[in-house]
Amino acid sequence: MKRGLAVIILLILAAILISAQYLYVTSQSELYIKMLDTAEDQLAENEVIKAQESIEKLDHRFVGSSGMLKLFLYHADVDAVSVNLSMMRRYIQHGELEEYMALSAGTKRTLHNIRESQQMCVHNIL
Amino acid sequence: MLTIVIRTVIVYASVIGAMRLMGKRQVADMQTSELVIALIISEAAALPLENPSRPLLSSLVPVIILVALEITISILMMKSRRFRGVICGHPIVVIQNGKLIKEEMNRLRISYEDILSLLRQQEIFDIESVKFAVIEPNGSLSVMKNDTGDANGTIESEEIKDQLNSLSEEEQEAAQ
Repeated sequence: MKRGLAVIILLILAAILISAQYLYVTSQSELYIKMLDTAEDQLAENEVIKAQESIEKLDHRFVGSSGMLKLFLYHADVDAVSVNLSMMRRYIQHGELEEYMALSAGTKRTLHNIRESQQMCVHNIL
Repeated sequence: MLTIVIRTVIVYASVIGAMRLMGKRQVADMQTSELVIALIISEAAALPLENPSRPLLSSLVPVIILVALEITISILMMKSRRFRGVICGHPIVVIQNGKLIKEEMNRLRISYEDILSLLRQQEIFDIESVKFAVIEPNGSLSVMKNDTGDANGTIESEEIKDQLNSLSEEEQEAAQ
């Protein structure tokens, strides 16, 4: 009976940790992709100042949540996105919009891959 | 470097806790599933120590699930003989009344020399002095000698009794 109870407690603990990881990582990835899209749209409409503010807000937010993300993801992946965001801030400040757009696309792809890695699908299992 | 020290302590405590929960025995007495689980847990637990960039949870969650699986399997093995047979296999009689049972030896892919070696390790040098010799699921050999004090000379195991009964029937058919 004790061992049975131990099994149930362990499975509940595992379920909580797995759910927390899935929900947090997925929601944060989607949020950051959306924020990057917003900045790109603002740039497309020549609202450079607004885009710069969006990217600064995004960078600041990402730095704040990177600690929590590192609980669930490889630190190198989180750091890569953080580095990209800081580079994007510089590019947009200096008006290097082509470099900014290229890096933005790469960062969005990385975030998309991070989100996909949390999904229950065959290629993640295999 | 301090992070590695702390990680090591956490991983060590987790693995010790897991082993205590599973109630491990000595390696020689482990069932197949227990040995597999112990090996996988040790490998999974070592990963965040090798790579500090790897999140600790990515190893601790598999360890938790493996421990839960192992306890579940051990409970099911206690309750179901058939399930136990699937996971661990059955003890197999290889010597009965001083005679080797060649079919079982072939099934186990064990040779005559291997049997003699196992007998010698138990200080038995004459195969005819053996009433029963059983290869256990963990690969060890258990022996009942002819001069054992048990008057009935029986083995308390349903699986072995079933095997001996089926052997007796085959012997009777062969005699006919």
